[in-house]
Amino acid sequence: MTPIARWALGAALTLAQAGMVLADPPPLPPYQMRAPAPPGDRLAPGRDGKALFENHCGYCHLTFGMGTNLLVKQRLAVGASPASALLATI
Amino acid sequence: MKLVLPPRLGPRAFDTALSAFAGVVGKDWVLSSDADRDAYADIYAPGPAEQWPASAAVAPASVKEVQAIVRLANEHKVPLWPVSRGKNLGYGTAAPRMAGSVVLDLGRMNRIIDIDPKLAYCVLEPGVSFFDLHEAIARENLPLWLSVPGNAWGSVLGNAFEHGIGYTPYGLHARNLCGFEVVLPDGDLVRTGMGAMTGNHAWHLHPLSYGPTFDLAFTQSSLGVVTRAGLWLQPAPAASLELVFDIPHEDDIGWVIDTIAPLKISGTIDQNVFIPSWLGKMVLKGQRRDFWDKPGAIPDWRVKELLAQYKLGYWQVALRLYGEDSVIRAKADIVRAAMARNLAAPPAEHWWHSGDERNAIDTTMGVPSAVPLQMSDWVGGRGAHMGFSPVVPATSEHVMGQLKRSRAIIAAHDVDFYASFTIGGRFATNINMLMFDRDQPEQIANMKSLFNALIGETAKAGYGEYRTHLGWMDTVMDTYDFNGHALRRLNERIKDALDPNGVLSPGKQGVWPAAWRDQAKEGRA
Repeated sequence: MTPIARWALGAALTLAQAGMVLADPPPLPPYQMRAPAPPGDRLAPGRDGKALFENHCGYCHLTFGMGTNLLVKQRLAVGASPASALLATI
Repeated sequence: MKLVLPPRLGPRAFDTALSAFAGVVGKDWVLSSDADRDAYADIYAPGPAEQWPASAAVAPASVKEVQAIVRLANEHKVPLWPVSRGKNLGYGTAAPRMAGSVVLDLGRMNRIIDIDPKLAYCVLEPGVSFFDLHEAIARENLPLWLSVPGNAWGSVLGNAFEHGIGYTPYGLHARNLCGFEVVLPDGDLVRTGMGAMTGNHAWHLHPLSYGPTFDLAFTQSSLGVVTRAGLWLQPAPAASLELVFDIPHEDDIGWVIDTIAPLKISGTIDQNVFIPSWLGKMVLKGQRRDFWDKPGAIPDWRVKELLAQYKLGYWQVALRLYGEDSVIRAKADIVRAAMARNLAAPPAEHWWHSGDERNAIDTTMGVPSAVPLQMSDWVGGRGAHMGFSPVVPATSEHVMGQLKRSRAIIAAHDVDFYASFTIGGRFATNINMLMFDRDQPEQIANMKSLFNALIGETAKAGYGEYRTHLGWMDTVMDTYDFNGHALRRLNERIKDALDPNGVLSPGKQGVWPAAWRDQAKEGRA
């Protein structure tokens, strides 16, 4: 399953309304691994930005993270695409 | 956050101490700007974070640096507040009990020193998070599982030191600790248990010392800085089965406890069984204004409507069995039959087998997540939560008594009721989540009044909290009153003997060193 597909499934489950709540829902998406922290001085420029983002922000801002879930609600409320809640994709 | 100096320390002496700390860790790791102090403030504070201000933080990277900082703290009379990663949300985060303390941030000490898949344990430094350990195990494809709390941002060791709980067979986290290395308040270094012998091979395997066993004396404690510890891990099971029972009515919790606790005590069920009330599901579906747009607690009639609309029981038991397939099937038959004595509806059942993926938020399978923190968004605004967490015997008599008592007090304060009982065996931990908007002073005042009432009435009935926020550490310690507060007096005698200058965690859990005992009245919520 692609990250976006996993995210979409997670978001749908999180935001499920009355008619969508199932007695036996499908399984949630699997855990998404973060990148290891790039080595080196934390203050040095030029480190791998993607790895830094995943390692430091990925606790909450990868697929189905707490931050992603909260942003989905906020983005939907202003009429934006829920995909814009996944910070790594924007 | 503006600077609040440690008591009885002037600005020049404080600067001298920070310079001395910088001589050990480097100036980049002494953090003393207003923005730095904000980073160590209690982001869930019930009231202004300035009530529990750190003056600075210092972040050592090795045991030798910790020893040097502690010795300098004695020399300069600077109080330290050690934190592992400082994510103790709801209980004070990284903020110190005594205003002006310097946070000793151990987050840089984040080495996974060893993972042993054969004997199922690891050796960690305090800066290792649940995510870090989970991913290290996954990368090596080791057959080990963690036990995780609701918020896995935090430190594996720090959570165990604070007596945190999880929802697997290894859910009483402090019981998984085995063998510590500790910097004492004078800077001396000690290893507990078998580690007291140089080169001993069973340090993190045999949980007792030759002579008195001190390990747990360093948990919820101000007697030392733990710089490494062993932690037992759950061997990955061959299979697992989740049985999900929706329990329709509030009073059903009585028979649920009387059904599950004996199965847990006998070993048929080996996990910590988490039983949240309905609001635990609703907080993930939206904010309270999506379901009830008036101030005050959601009325019972509306709760009944919501339960029907969302097909929820008042409680949910999501019970999980672990092990070999055939053993699980036999145990499941016993559990189903026991529950069927009071509940006609069969459980929803979900099998997992070795090699299957584990989902992103399943705490009963040891997968770290921060998703449960979404509950703080329930009230909107700058949401936060506190937990009122008494421990009761795992029988219907005690659980129902606690439920009715806390329910009535929470209703009298017009606050939404969100409780859970976690059956740990002979006891159940009753966590009442109290959610509030930090920018609504009247909500905060109400929460403080509510929290004080809960502590007082619960203690009168014979039950105590296992853990609490900084602002109530003294209040809760006051409730442990046998023989003129003999436990506190014992703690103080040991504290004063080991830490005559009171440099480590003054006021932690209501234990004040003689050097700072005059500060005990400050910082109470």
